Amino acid sequence: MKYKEENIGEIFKEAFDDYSPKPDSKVWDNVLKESKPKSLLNNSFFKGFAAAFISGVIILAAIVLFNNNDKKHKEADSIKKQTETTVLDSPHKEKSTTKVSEKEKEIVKNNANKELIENTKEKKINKESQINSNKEELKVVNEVAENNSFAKTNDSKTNETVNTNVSKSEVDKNLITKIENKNIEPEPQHIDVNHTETKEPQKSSFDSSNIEFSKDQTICFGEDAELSVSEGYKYKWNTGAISNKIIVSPVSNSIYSVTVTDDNGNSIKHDFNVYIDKSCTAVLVPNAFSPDNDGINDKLEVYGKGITNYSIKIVSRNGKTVFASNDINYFWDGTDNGRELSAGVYVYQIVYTDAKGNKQIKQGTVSIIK
Amino acid sequence: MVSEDKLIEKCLKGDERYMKLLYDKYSAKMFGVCIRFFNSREQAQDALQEGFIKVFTKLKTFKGKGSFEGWIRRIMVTTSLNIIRKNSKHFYNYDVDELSDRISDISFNYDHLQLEELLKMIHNLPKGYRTVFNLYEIEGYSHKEIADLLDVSENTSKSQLLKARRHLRKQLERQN
Repeated sequence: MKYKEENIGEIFKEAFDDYSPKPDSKVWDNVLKESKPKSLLNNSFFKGFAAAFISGVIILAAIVLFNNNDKKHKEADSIKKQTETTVLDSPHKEKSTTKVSEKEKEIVKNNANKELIENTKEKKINKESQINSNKEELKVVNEVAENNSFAKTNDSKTNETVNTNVSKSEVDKNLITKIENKNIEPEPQHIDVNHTETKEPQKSSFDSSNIEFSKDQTICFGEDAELSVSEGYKYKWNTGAISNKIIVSPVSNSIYSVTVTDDNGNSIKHDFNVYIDKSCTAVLVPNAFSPDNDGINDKLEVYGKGITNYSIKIVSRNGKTVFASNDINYFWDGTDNGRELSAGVYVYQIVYTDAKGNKQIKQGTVSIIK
Repeated sequence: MVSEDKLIEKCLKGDERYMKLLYDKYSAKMFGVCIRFFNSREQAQDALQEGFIKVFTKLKTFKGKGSFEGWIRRIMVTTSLNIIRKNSKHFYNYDVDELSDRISDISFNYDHLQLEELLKMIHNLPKGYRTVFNLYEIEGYSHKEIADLLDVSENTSKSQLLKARRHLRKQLERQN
């Protein structure tokens, strides 16, 4: 059968006239989520509006100027007509958008103000937390000073050195904690001997034997280590954390420290060593690659040393499995069995047994960039 | 049936039930528009999604001049074009790049076989041909409008259309 090329369009137009395929239901979910007023303000679309508005103003201004300069009305009229027709011809419907864009501009302005307010709020919060931490430091210093005056009555020799240390330690927090540890431990002995210090019964001894610290550990490169202290105290880690557990991912041998404080203000410091075993790694997955055959990052190169029982599964946002393998050296090329996939975010799940024999599940997302 | 005016009014107030009604009324048809611009269902859905978000956020700018469906359709077309532009580094350097741009096993549920084949042919077109063909033949834009939309010359638009038609004619004849 022969076709005339002029008629090709009609064939297709007719065929597609009532063409209504059903999109996935998730599209609606996303539309609803994004159509709420909040996202409306962030939409880059409105920047376009603002641009359209500004360009509209410029054009109008140009016309007005032109008209003022030109005293011949006829010419001015013809120009007006011309501009009118061009505006009508424009497929972007500039006419209608310029009217509205004033509102949009206001919205954009409001948004900017909101951001400003939020920023200042954040700053305030930061300041507050700084103040709080300063207060805490002061507290510690005071407590140490108290401890020292307490020790003074008992032992003048250690006392002198301690006092000088305290004045210096106002600058150095680590030093304070060291002093604390030194001072706290001999306390109970002195109390037992003298029985004179009944003024401060709340300054009871800090029984550190009840506190359990997680042991020093060796991890593979890329793995996490959990450091923990038994519950029921206040904690201050050198990482800034204040919980009783932290998860760290050092890339070289590292020491972490925590200062544990009880209700009475007594504290103790503990160091954790985390060593890196260089003969093994966790499974390392890049977060993006570009399958464009340029020789650079064309495949998703997963890396892992000393691991076994590896399997990977990659799923598109539709929930379709686009890649699966049991071989860590078989890299994903960004296709679904040879069919090129669109740029975007894909989800992976990797199950493996690490060098210590523990089963690990690693999940994350990877982006195809085109 | 809810009247169009009421539908718009309720959607402007952010009534989710009516927003869903509006979406249900037009989503399939608009998906049909978007899907012709992309040879991946996912990308077409992204365009549809982005388009509808624009419809809802921009609804107050619809002044009731001209048809509402036409207004929505225009948003879908411009949104699709924006996505195509964003995703392609060399929009009109397709000849070598896109020879391999063939779809194989995308599983759509089309109303009937012929339509599916026609759509496949459109998807088989290089991106540049496909875009111009869709705009001119199916959406009814003029070469001048296309030139403005795609930021190319009118002559480019015309020659792309001719090539697209030739491409499709060959495919139609091969099929028969």
